[in-house]
Amino acid sequence: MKLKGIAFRNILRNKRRSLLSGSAIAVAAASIVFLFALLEGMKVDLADNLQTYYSGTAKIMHADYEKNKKLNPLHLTVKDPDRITEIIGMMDRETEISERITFPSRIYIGNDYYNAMGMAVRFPDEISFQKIENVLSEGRFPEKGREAVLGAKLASKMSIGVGDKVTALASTASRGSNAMTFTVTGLAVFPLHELTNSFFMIPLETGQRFLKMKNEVKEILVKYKTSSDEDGKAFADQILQESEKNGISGIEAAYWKDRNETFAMIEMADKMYMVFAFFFLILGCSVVINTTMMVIYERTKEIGMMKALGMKDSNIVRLFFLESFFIGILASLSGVLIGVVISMILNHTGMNFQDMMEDIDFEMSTIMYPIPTFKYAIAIFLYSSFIASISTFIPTLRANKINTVDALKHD
Amino acid sequence: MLKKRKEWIFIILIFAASAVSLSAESAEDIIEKMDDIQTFRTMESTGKIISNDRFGTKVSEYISIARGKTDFLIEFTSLEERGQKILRTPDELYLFYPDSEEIIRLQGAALRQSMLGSDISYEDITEGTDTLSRYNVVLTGEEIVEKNMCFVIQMDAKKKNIAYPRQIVWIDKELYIPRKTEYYSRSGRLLKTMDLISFEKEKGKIILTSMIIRDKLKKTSSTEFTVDKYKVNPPVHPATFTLEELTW
Repeated sequence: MKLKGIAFRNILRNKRRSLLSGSAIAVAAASIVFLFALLEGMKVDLADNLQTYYSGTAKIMHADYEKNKKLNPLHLTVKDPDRITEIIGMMDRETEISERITFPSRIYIGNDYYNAMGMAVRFPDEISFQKIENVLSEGRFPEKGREAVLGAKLASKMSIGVGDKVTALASTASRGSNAMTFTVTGLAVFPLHELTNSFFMIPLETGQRFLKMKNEVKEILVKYKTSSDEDGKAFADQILQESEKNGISGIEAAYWKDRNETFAMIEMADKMYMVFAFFFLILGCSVVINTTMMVIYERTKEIGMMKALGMKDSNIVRLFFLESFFIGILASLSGVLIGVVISMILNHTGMNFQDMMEDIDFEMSTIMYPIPTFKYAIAIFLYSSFIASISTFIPTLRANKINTVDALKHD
Repeated sequence: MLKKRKEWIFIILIFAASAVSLSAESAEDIIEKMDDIQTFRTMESTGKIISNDRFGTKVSEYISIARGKTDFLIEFTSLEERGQKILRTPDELYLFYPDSEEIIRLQGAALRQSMLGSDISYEDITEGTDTLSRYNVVLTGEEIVEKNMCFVIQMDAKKKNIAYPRQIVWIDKELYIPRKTEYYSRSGRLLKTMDLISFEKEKGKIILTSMIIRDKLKKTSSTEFTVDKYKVNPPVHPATFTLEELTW
């Protein structure tokens, strides 16, 4: 009990040095908390974008589409999509459904052409599915017929605006090609740079006519809440079973994580960051190790005096260890708190990566919101406290080896 | 006496060599003959494009009108592509789709795009018979193709915007028709092959009635291009090969 008191008093004896050694750990802990909050934000954002724009929580496609997808086999369609939507609607889970056709295309303006991705959707369904009303920057969404809304950057590249006409050329489900002219009714800025840069959206019925599909779609995206990956996969399987029971065959229902390598990479990055965090903390701890060694050297005479007064060697080691331990604990705690506060502020304001992601086609939003989590805050606090304590244990052992007589003579 | 005989032999040999060199054809002559023998003042034809790939067989039907070496119009008549047209003029290639308000002009690498998902590109079908204006040609040898002795001619594009930078064509020595053609990229990669299956003779000219094109970048795919019916030198309206007419 007395040792703890002496340790605290010693920490306060040289506040500047204690602050210096503690600040290294605090900065490391704050940075790690922020990095994990950013990674969590990226994971949530990526998961949302992938499910909203690409894969749903489960995606229903033709059973052979995935293995032939490099050939853009638009003829491998999902037939009678409304019947499947009806079957899902009758299942015992709240879902949001989007019937879609996404297709590569070329837009011709005069003698120039631009590569683009078309997306044929039912706009009223997309209001809830992808919160589409938030992305419109100008004009309105197509209502019917040959109307299109264009990604704002795509429109800017082509120097066209609302009211202009564009002609898109695409391969069709009959394995031929077709071109159709659309009037631009609106421009959209999507959360994803890729979409703003290259996508155009048209009404589903127009898309079916354009791509020679008769009551067919390329995919049905289903969004639903899951308690775990197993639960998510089980519901995807259930959709397939129910469809088969109702006489619909030749389709597959894929759980989103089974089709997305990007998300698996981010999850792997999570584990990698733990390794980086370890080295980051060791770097921070090197300052504490240095100052502990310096303190022991400076207080050699004091150590000799304590030994001469009968203090045990083990207690002297414990005293110096406790000093470093308390600095480590306080620094970790303040670092974690600083990291959480910074992350919370940025969670509110967002971090704009628009310029950085200008030429990157990645399923990540251009504005990122770090999400600090209690789980990570606690883990990083314990982790950094532990590493700070362990790393100072070695220099404190030096205090044990000091000879009493030599120490008393030390200047 | 012996000296005089030697002189005579020498003169005869020189004459023989000159005669051989005069009768030997240059690569340009061969290509010109190949183009001429397939060129009609005008021609109308109907036929099919039969594409086979891992997804099955697809048949597209067409009507085509050609005039001279460069003007060519093809209109698709099968249900899925009905009304789609491709027009080739001396300098340009245009696509017309009934659902489009604009005519699409293709150029450069876009000419190599697959037509109707087949192994045939827009360039292949409308290539025309003015080969020497687009390629430098070199006779590299002679080979037998399907029991027919052929000239082997290497053709290198004169301009960068030609769809196939290099072609090697095996031209029948007797009939001056291409028995086989290989199409290469700039890097020397084999892109496509064309094999002649059948032809018909008409008024001293030859119509290639069936050929198989294989895209070497795709596995297990081939496209047969057939001419089922044809009419040689029919009257063709002068406006047929204009953009205004294309949209009608």
